[in-house]
Amino acid sequence: MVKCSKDKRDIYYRLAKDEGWRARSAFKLIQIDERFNLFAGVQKVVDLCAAPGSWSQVLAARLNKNKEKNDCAKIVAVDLQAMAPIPGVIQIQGDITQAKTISDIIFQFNGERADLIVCDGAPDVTGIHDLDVYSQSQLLASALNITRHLLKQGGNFVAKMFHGADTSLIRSQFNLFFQTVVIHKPPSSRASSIEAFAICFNFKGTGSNSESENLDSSSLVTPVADQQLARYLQCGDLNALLASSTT
Amino acid sequence: MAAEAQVSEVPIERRFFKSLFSRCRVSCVKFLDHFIIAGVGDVLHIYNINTKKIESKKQILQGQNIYGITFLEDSSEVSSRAIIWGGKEFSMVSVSFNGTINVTVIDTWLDNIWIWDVKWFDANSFLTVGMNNSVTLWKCSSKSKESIAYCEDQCIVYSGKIIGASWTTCVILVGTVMQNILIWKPTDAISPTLFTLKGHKGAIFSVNYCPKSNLIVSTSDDRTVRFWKVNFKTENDWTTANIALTSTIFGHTARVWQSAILNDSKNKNIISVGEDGMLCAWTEKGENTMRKEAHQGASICAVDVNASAGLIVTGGADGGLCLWSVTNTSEVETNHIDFNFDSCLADIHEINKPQQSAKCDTSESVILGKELSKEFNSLSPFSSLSVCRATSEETSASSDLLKNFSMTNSTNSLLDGCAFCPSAFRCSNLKSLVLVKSGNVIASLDKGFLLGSSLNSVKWKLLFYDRRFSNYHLLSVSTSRKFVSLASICGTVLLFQDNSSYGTVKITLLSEVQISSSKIFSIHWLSDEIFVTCVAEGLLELWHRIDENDSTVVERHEECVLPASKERWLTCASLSGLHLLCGDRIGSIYFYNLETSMNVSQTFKKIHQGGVCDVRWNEETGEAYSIGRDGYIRHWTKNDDKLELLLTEKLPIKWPTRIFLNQTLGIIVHGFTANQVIVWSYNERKILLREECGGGHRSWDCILNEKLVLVWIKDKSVHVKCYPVDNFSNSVLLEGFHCKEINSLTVCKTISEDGEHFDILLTGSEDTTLRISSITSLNLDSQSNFFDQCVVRSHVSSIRALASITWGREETLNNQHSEDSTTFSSGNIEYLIVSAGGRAQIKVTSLTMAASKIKKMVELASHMLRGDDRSRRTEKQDSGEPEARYMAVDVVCLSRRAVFIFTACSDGVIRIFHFSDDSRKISVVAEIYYHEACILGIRIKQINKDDQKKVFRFLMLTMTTEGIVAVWEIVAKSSSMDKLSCGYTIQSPTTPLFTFHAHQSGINSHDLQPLGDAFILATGGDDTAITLSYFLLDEKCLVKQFTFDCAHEAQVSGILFCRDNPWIFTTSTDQRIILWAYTYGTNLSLQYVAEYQSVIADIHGLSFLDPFKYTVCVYGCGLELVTFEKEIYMNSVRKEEESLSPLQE
Repeated sequence: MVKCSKDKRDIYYRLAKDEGWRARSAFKLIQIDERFNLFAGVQKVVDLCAAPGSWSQVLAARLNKNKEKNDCAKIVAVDLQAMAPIPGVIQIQGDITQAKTISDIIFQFNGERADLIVCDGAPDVTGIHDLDVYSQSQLLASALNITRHLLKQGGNFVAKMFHGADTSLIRSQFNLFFQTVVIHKPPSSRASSIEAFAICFNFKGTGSNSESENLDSSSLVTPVADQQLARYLQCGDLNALLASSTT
Repeated sequence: MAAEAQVSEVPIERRFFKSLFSRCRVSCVKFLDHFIIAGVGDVLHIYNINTKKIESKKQILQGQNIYGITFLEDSSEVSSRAIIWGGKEFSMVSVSFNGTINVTVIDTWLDNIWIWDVKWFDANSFLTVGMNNSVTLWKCSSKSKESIAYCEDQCIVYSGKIIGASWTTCVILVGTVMQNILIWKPTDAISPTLFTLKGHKGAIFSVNYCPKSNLIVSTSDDRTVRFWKVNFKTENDWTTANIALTSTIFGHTARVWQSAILNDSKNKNIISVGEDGMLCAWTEKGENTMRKEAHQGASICAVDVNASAGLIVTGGADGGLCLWSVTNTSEVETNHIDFNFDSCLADIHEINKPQQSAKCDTSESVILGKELSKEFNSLSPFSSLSVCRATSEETSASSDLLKNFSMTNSTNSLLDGCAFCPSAFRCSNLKSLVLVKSGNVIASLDKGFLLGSSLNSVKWKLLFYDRRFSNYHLLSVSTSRKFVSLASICGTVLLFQDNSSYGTVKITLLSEVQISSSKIFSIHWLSDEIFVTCVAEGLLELWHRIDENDSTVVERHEECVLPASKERWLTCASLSGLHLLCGDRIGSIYFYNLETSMNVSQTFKKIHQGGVCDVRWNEETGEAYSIGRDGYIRHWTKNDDKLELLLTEKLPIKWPTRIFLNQTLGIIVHGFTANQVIVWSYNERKILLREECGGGHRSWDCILNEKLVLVWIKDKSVHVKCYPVDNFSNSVLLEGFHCKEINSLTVCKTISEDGEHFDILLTGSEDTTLRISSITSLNLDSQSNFFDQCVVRSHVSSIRALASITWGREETLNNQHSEDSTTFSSGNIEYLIVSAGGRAQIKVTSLTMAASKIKKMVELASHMLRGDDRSRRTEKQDSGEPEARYMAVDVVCLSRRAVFIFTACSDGVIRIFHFSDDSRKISVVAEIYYHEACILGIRIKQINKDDQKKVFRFLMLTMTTEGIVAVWEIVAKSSSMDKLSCGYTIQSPTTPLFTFHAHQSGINSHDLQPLGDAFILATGGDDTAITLSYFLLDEKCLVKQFTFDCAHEAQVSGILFCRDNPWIFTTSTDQRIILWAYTYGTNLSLQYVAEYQSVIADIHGLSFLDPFKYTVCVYGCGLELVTFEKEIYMNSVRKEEESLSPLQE
């Protein structure tokens, strides 16, 4: 195998160990929330592709801080794999492309729709760049699709994406369903990685015929080329630690 | 909507750009007749198997990697059709054979799903399998989708395979991310799944099917290869078939990407390749028949087999393409020669029946000593010359034992055979081994016996006995292994010649020399004629073997003295002419010029900490190699009778023991790691062989000529392994390049004597290597235009930054980054290269180029902020905190003794280093603690100089992850007082002149354009924006700034100002190269001109190769050279203006 030189023990890796997060990715959601205040007033939230559960941990810690039990926000974590239980998080083991999963989630919310949906899922990364970007876009399309069935009008959506040769397509897809779309890379995301986050505000609501569409990205309307580009916004306060820093 | 084909032309505007050349992963390989077709990025390469040379290249799917090729099978011999696909795109091409091969693109499609497999049904239709588990039937004539079918299990699939040749008979095999293999037939728009094969514990990356053996082979994320047997009830009726898992193979140490099935009358093998860089072959039962390391350990992306020729072709992530043979893999000979003489004792008795004719002259005979005779019930015969000087009483005491042996009449002292009591041998142990020229092995026993055996025999033959050589003796062999020497503790050396004929082992004693009166510490053969001995007081003597008539004499010719040390003897030696190179136990290397002096001319003290294991001259090149217990190989050169260290490289072997210079394989290092013996190729940087043997503390020997023979002692027997050398050689069709992303690139220019210009690319990569390559012709169509010159592997971590300056001529020294090729004259040019990167390591290397070839390359200095690994281990100061990384580096050279290196560090510190050619040391001269975030970029620009006062003023720019640019002034003053910087001191400020904000977050790339007193800084950031900042140095302020948001779709990783036009090239992770026009009059502005979609993924930067021809090089996962065709662009602009002007009127 090729000599690996990447220093895995970066500052966030160590911070995550210190603070008890399951993965360093927890900081990405924390930083996104600090910048966009996504968690304000959120009562029902879905974490798609949740395993190993660091984002669910963040949701449980932030939403239910200093709250009475009956006042707690409902957090539903969905993943194909089982993961270790997290207090205050309802787990559903299921496929986000299946209709049954949708009804299971809605059941947990007593028939209501979610205020916020987050997705930090990534495909099996092969290292074959264009394939990874493509499969991430497929996963994102699936996440967007299930979001259309789960999110309330005016709700928000956060999803991981990979920068690649055809990112504009995905952005345009988001723009069809949300009023504002911001592409953002939190400081805790490695500068060298192609990862970024699409933060979508104000869900426009479900179209009339969407229920019948199959859960495949090709069914999403292919946007026209000159669709507006999503704005990039750096978030977090500038004193925040940056992933490339080593001290 | 589904049936409405979204067929469209490839939409990328490429009119104004032309790709000249690219190096990236080989994503697809295919045999076709006696050609190999490979997809290297978006370029199709065609190689001829017989000549192993490239026939042609053609760019097919522009900007898209080629992942597969499918030929139309029932085609004529002179032409064929093929589909070449990659991602969502595919092209139909016509392939014609006409002595050579010619590929022409007929049509290109763009689908909306990723394609895994394509199969022709007939000349007008083909089927594709998509990532969404669907199949599409395409019609060539109408360029349309005829039908589409989905599998009922709608999921993302990571592999697909089509079996059958028509819509009604075909069967689809797909591997899902859900760890299952699904088998289905496109019967309906939503078709049922016939089989779900469960077993894999991860995503399935390939499924393959062999109709001859009804075998499905799948490879997966779970590191296994699995075989599934299809049992048909009626032939090829999948609906009623029964499929069972037959083998699960854990043979790879990482994910398994691809498999290929080799099945014809001669060969039955399943080949698998994976992320671990291993090429494995398996039988249908799952037994391993081959395991080879390939492509520098990088991922092997593609494999294909040619069953009839027994060939395998592999394509790697390192961009290499290799051809392997499957036929010669099973010829490894293994043998054990037990040191249990019970079995062969009878034999010896048989041969050595008492012979009455034997002469038993006790006065000449040698008798075993008392202590030995007690151990032996019977005696071995021996004769006059090789005798123990026995006393008379020993003679008489033993005389009664002399009844049961035979004695040779020959004048030599060797034993032709003898009889021993088994118990006597049980007291003896095998001590050392040598392999001799005839292919036999000679072993010495600790009681002073020499035994011989042929490698395929199971019996030993006693060759010689001399009591003087019991306990301490040194057995060594000459370089061609024709002569064997045995040295004793009392200073005697015996010289033998290997006289074996086929099947029999025989050695002849040539001569006996009394070298000294005391112990011989070491003896090493330097050739077949000369050996060097080391005795007390470090006296080294060179002895020459001289044949005179029928006898051989040994004469002492040269002598020299080893400097005093704790362990004053040699562990290895090599001679070239009269230049003796030797090493010792404490790791020092000594160089003697015996012509001039008997004293050491150069000492490299403890350079191989732990002991030097081998040194070897390469007589042809005058270069030498050394290896040691520190696990490093060092490459030396002889320069004006001086030994100079060229390169140091870490070996993948803990205990390297021997260097071979082999005709076919090049430089080979043999050694041990734990209980394994490892054979490693220096040229290919790969492990050729790894074999369990018990470790290097055992007695062993190894030869490498047409065969690699390993012998070692384990469990009191000699183990033998013979490998044909062909096993290790493979044909390299395309040399590999970097295994991982290229982080930095710099270009050096050279001119040959005939005035031809060459570009030398230096690339520093995440794979820790620095490569030096030359480009001879900037033309995609030319057959070979890119040559790897050298690979430097001495960095301990990734190389992130490179800087180079011309070095050697004072007048050009100050023109750093001089890209003006006219300033160079022809002939040798010396460059100083600074490389820096992970683990806070920085290296300075001198590179002398003669035209496109490296004349000399010497690592001058290396520096690690917290000391190197060795000193750190001893000081125990490793706190576990991650070290800083150097993110960027720039260099200023005031004189050969005053080179200043400016580094941007990940811990926010600007560090300035000094390097001098005299001391060859890098030392920190200043550390500026100002930034609180990681510094991503640094740039030094000389602004003026006062020759009289010798004061230089520099502008320094630093850029951070916070999006801040800091502008600094650095002054270098002459001060002969200061010894450290050899005449110059750097006055480092603590605060910058001024700072300004350019981006929301990290500044990944920058370029500086001076405009008189002002400067324009162009920066590209993580925020996808391009910012132009116009500032005046004298007024210490930013005058104006312009930001173009969303210039790219991802972080802008490269930015360059053109020299002679107000143009900027930018590039980004989104794989685009965009050309912009800028203005800086009253307002700054930026306007889009043209763009190019590169095939290089994860682009890290952009460099000019030729700024006057607008030729740029983008690098990341590979590199691509692209030129902007200004003339075509200008013409098109002119035409557009002409067409517009009448309208305006």
